[in-house]
Amino acid sequence: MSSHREAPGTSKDPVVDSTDLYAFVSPDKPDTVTIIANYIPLQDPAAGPNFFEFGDDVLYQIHIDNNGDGLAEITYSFHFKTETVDPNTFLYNTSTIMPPAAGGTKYANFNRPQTYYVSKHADGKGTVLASGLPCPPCNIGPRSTPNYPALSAPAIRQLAGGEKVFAGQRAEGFFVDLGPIFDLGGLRPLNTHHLIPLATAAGINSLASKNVHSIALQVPISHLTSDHRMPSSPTAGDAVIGVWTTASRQTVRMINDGKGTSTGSGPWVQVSRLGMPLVNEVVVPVSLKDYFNSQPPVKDSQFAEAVANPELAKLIPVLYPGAFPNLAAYQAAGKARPDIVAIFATGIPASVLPSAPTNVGGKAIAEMLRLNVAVAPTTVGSKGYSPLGVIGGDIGGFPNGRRPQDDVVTIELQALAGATIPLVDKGYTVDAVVSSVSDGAPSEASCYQSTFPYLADPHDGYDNPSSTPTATPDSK
Amino acid sequence: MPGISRRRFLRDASLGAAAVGAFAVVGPQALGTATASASPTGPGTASARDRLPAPGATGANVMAHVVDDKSGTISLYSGTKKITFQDHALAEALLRPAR
Repeated sequence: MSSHREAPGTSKDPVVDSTDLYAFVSPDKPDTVTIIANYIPLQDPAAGPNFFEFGDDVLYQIHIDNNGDGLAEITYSFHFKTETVDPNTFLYNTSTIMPPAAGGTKYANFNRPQTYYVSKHADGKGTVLASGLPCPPCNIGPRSTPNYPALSAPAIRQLAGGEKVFAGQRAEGFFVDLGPIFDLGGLRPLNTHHLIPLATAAGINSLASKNVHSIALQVPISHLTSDHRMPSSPTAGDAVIGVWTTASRQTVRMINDGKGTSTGSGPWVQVSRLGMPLVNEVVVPVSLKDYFNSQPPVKDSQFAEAVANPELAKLIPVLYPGAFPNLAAYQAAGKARPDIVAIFATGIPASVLPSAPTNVGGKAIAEMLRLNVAVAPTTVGSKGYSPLGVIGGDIGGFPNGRRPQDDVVTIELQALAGATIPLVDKGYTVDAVVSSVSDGAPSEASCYQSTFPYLADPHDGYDNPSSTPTATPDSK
Repeated sequence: MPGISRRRFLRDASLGAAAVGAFAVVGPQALGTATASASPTGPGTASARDRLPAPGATGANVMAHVVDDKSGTISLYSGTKKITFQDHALAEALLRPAR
């Protein structure tokens, strides 16, 4: 997956598990950037009696580096608080949930309302931007949440400082064919090429009909750049920002014997981190994944070897013998992958991608989601749009930031398979099969929307699954 | 769940229906410094007794961790703060019941 259950520790602690991070120039409001940090993976919509919630004991943060040093110049922090309105019922909602009155925050008949406050730390000072902001309930079904758009809309809040925020359940927008990938690097469309061949098949989206919890933030570009201005061009020194999200827990957790409660004490300690998709998932060794989650981007030179010589790139010619002769020869010659280092850890310089560099002077090896905010957005379906982003000729997409519909699995698989080597080695010939390298998982248009928060309302529990799933016999 | 009835379900549903489509604008409500929790804090250097809130005053728990009995290094955790200091006698007193 992108970063769902990517490390042994976070896989056992879903509320701190950051699954995806998106950062893009808002297509309908191009003077702003939208950042979406997703948490709590693989949510089945039918989740009663305890539907999904953010962790009250977790500090969620979104960090922005605007000068390329790998350190956060701006941090937004989100703290959640959950209330139990009626402690004497097992119900999540005691009747049909109704939205707050105009200007209000209380959902009628919602027994587990969650609110949050958001603060900003920048220029050496901290400011609480707003408090008591409501999260919508999870999408339960036609009796409890019959008009979900009316429940989610009041949770979109425009703040006086210029930011727009939303925190709550959304449809999972990430798509991947998870089964084959972790069954020895399989890709159904390329099954016949695999070392252990199977019949070719179309890809399956393993995350179809799943939900996730999103923290979405839309910020004026001038609030994010180092000089508080709109950059003059994509190569201007203030044009690139680096974004990552973290979740932290307090150092000590005391389980109060006989009370069914726990108490946290001490400083917040980072336990989860996400910038670029799939880096901690398939680049960092399993023994270092939770350690990686504890580290700030500025210390990422310690992971440089894993990025420069990615294990998955070495496995590709082994798992698909004969299909990648040029990649095999390149790696047999002991050549590292500066193209992968640029994509994941340093940004792409203007000398390689002058129309949309993601490094305009940054010095740090730092794994962040870098976005050139001076590149105009490409609307989905418009001329020039490609879900393959930069390698599809669309400089408004990944790895120049990341939009929800970007097919980052295919992009990164093709990059690792050699598609981006010519950016740094003009003499390299990409293997013919690379353009067809993909897991083939389809995206679901219904999971996205054209306006903030861009991920659609969540799937409801009554209708998902829509029928009893039929067990499929094991492949033989 | 007290008071549950078909009548209540229908009443609540009809009362709430008037609020459909509500939208609110929220401005700064508590301007000031960010919480200490927004920026992880490191070990302090001052005396723990000087820096940590009194549990009785705040209701906070104080957790003590004897980091190293040989040097008498103790870390105290309360709220979002951590204080590390050396006190051989206190470390010994804390460890004695555990031995």
